[in-house]
Amino acid sequence: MTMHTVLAQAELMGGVTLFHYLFVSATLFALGVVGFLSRRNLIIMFLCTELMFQGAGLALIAFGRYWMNPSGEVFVIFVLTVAAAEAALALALVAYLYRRKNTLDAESWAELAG
Amino acid sequence: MSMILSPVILFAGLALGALGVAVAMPRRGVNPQIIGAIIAGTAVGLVLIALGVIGVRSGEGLPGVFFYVFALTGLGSALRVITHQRPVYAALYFVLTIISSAGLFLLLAAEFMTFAIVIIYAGAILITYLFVIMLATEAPTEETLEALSDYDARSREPIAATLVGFTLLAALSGMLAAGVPGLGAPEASRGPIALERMPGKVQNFIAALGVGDDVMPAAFMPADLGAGLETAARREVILGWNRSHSPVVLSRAAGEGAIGFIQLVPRDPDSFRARLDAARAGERPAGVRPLPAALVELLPDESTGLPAFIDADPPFVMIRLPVSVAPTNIETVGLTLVGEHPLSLELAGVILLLAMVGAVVLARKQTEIEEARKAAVDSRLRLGGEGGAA
Repeated sequence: MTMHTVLAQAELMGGVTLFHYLFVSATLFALGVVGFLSRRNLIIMFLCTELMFQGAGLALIAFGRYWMNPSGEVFVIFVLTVAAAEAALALALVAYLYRRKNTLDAESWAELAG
Repeated sequence: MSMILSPVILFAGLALGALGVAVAMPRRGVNPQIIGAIIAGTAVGLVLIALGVIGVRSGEGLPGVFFYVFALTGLGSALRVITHQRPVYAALYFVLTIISSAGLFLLLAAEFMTFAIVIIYAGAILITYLFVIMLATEAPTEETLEALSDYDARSREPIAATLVGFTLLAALSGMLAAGVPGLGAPEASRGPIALERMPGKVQNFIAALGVGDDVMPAAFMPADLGAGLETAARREVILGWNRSHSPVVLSRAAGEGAIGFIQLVPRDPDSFRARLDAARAGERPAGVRPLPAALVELLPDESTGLPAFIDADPPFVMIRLPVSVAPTNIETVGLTLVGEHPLSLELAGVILLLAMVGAVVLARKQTEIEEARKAAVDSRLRLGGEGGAA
């Protein structure tokens, strides 16, 4: 049994297909969208974007596995980089906004809507 | 075009899930969060069970228990991330989501990303979140210990948001279930064999066999031109051409337990051939240095039709490469990252540097100094500068 056959059989184990992974990743993404739209705490809103990154990363790795192409995993490294950069900036911004208004409520910035 | 999952089950499950999530969003007054969480959990469980039944029906064995455990934990804690009223708990549930998806990554044989995500997300990013939650929350007094701020306790338009999110999810998963033929069982395609780009690893392996000085590895051939594609044509690996110009063909059985073959060109073909023949015959004639046993074991079986010594120009020997030499996940990822995406890697570094600078600029505390003091500080600095120059 060759390496690739072993891996292919591990993938087939239990009839877990690519669709299963993509469904989980889409659900993670959708939950992130729901949270981002409806929560009012700025910190939780940014946590929800991390949830969406997570869904995207899972889809990338599942696709990379499906096509036996390590570029999927490499792309997740870049997603991780962007997530880390986003977290650093967003959290600095949150700290700054909190200092201005003394609240984390996103609706306290409603005047930005014009 | 066959649906993987009946659209009725899929959309009913998603509608139920949307209802559950909408109910579970935090709101003031009556708080049916637990009911909502149960409904949403049931819905996701329903869809996953339907998927599992398909896995069983398609004759591929029992459902992958670990997949369902990780998927349910991950989705359940993701639900708690978006519904929990206290930010610290939401962040901790997010760690649980990360660990569950790390489990899913492990099932997908992405070991490097598994620990990278635990270290970076659960370790670094979430600690930053916890620090900011700590910094941006007022210290509770005795009375307000249990009180929630309004923006945590009440969500904004939960029903509309759930509708939007789950419409997106229904469109995505409905399309996935119906639109892509052949999604049922993944056909493993022959990915890039990273070993071709790792001559050092092969060289070390040959040296460890004890014949490093006698032979030169010339080429690597994967045993497996398309795993899982059980067509007769692909079961055979063409190894090389001998003098009569007929290709040496090897059945797949010769590659059993190996990831491929390595072509070794002896520096001294005649003496190597004598050593090989002696080893195959089990003799130890005087004056012939015996071949290392480890190498003899890797020679392909004669029953598979491969001659031990292929009399081409130059003559060569094929040995099997055991699975232990196969590139690990980390080696594959590293080679792809540095070898194929070096520019993106540099750009990622630049993005991180810029983010760090931006975060420092944003988080710097602006200190207000009135004009008179500013002028005084300025002149003092200037005087000091002049004194230093003189």
